[in-house]
Amino acid sequence: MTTPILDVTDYTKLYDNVVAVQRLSFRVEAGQVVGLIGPNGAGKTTTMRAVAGIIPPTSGSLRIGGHDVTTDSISAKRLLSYIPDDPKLFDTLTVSEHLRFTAAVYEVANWKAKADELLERFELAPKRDALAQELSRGMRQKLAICCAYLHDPSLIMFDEPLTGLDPHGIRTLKQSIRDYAARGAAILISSHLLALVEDLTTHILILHRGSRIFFGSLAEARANFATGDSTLEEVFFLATANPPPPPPP
Amino acid sequence: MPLPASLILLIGLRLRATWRRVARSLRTPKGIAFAVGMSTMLVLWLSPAIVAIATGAKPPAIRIELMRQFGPLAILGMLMLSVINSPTERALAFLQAEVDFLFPAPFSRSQLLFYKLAQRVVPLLGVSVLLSIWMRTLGSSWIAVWCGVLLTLWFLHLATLCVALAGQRLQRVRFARTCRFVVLLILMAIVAGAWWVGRSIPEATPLEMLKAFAATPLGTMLALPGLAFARTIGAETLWPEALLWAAAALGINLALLTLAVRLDAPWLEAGAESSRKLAQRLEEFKKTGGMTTSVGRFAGMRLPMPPRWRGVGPLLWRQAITGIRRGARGLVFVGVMLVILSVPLLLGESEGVGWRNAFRPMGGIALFYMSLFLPQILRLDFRGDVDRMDVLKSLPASPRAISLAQVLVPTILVTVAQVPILFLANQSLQWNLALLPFWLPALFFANMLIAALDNAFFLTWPTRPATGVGMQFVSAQVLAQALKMMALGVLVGLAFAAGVLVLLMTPNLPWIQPLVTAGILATESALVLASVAKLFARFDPSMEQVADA
Repeated sequence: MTTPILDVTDYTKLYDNVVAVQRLSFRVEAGQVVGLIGPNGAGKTTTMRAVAGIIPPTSGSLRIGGHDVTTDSISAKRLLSYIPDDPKLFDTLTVSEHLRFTAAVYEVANWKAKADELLERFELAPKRDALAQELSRGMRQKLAICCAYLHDPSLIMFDEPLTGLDPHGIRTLKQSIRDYAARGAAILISSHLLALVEDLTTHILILHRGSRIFFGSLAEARANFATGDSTLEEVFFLATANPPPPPPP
Repeated sequence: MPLPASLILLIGLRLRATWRRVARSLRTPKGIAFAVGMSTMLVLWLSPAIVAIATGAKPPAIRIELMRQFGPLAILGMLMLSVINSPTERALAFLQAEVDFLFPAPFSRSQLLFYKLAQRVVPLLGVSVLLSIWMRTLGSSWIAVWCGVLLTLWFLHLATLCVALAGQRLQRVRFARTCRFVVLLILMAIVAGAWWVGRSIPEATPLEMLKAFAATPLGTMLALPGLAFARTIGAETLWPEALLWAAAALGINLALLTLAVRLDAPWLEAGAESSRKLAQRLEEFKKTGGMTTSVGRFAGMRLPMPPRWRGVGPLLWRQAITGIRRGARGLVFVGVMLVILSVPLLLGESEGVGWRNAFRPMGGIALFYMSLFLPQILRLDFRGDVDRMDVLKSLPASPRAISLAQVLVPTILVTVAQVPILFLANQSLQWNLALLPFWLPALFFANMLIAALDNAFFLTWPTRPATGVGMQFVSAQVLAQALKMMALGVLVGLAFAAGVLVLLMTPNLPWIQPLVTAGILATESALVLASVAKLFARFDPSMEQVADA
């Protein structure tokens, strides 16, 4: 049996006495694109931030490529890219300086060629010397994506990736996600745009009030909650119509 | 290596970015004008000190003695302030970009901590040079003062960081409470100790009481952490005194640095949360250009809606309710002032002489600063509404009504806060102003004049920072303040001169003087307010300037 790229086991996160996520377990294999969906406050971002090593889990284990995020964080993080919902950039650095810095962090060899290719692909090449503060919301998002792709991560996590992107940007991003998955990366996408999730993902993970309601392929979700030709939107509403009671503190 | 090459690269890139930003701002005429204005003010401010340093002029011995006696306690006070004021946010705040790029990146916590510490070095160097020039009379050698100031600033940062890291094991609220409790205990020990040892000194001033306390074993113990730093600043000789004390101070700092790394607390989550709060505050600052204040504690407060009064009523209500909900810190300030001013009354006629003499000018200065700066802090006027100008302009109310409502709330709030201080100070500090009630209208209209002038300047020059607090923004603020002070000086001076003239003409009717002064201040306020209304009517939100920071 191969090691999953992301292995979350019994992950629980408490804020004081409030349960944000309760005993969540799931695995993401290479090449899988998992859509993380759920109503506001379901624990999606908390889960992603814990996988990214930004917030520690209260209990449970989070492993990237077999490396524990808490105890072997550096090895785990080398395999990861995380693009938050509103990525913040260094306002006073230029586009190319962001890439230069990212290449230095992840020790990317021959990064310039890779960076140029990404800038071309995301239509940022004419802006390579522009300061981040001079970029529009969508361009900033594109730059964050370029930085995330630069080191060929094994696990890429997107939190609401389409915010601010123009139609061309959306198409490029979607294609790039498919490309990286085809090359063996595991992708985790959190979004309220269910059409996007349905279009891109191989699996879905539905969270509600910090608990897992469902994890599996879309076909399995349809079989569980709806009929064979139902949309993800219909599945989502049926799945969250009778949610489990809020977990006890 | 504690600091990876990529983080050193980031520090270098950001330093380069700072210089690039400064160079870019100097390419525009406005940028040059700001730079010249700012440099002139800086030169005027620092030149006497620079000349004194260059000529090797000896500072007065009493200043050096002051530093040596009270410096350690002052450093303790600064440390307590730093710790009490959200230590986690002060010590562990990263930029949001740093959180997004560095926290998920393959760096250990100690590497990120070293990055945070290394990043502070350049600003600390700059600030310490400026401060040491300003404080150079506190020591006999400028180099020793600079060295001491640099080590003190570093100490304050490291000590706050260690407290924040040590607190990571506790819940945030419990930690904040513990910090406040400890600080309160130390403060109470100082006040009680000073009181106890100072009570035997006839007509003792607060400073004399503190001096007597500093000589006690408890005072010596409390002053110990700051001793090496204060002695470096206030050293009489560069060698051996300054150098030996500086070595001791450096040793303390290195011990704190080792402790911070050894603690290896799980601070990433707290750091991310502090950064989010910091970003939120910065965002708010960019919007309003002013300080933000919490509304949490007073969120439930309600006010009845006044009549419409041509649109003034609802606008007044809106600003007043915001003012009351944001008033927590203002109330603390008023409370502290009232407690301080009560001391001479409690001490009695003869024993309170020392305190009265010490605080006599303070009451007046506090009232003056309240008038000047409280409206700027509260921002319950056009400054706070810079992002809502479209809404204000679309309201079915005349520009005059809107301007009046905007200016009235800060005026009323500041005056209401000042009145108890004024009456208590009159009694406690024995100002002997029999006609004080007659001066209240003058105080009200002086406050209104200040608020109206603030808004007139803001509507003429609505500059706010684009990214944080930049050079252009600070320069614009400093220049606007200077111009406003000049205008205020002329207008208030005219009103008081007219009052004095009337008093000379009617010496038997002294109550006419405050009324005439109030009348002239009211007329001036009305005129400035009419200008504010015109400026508001002409204000084009699409043309609003955003200063390049």
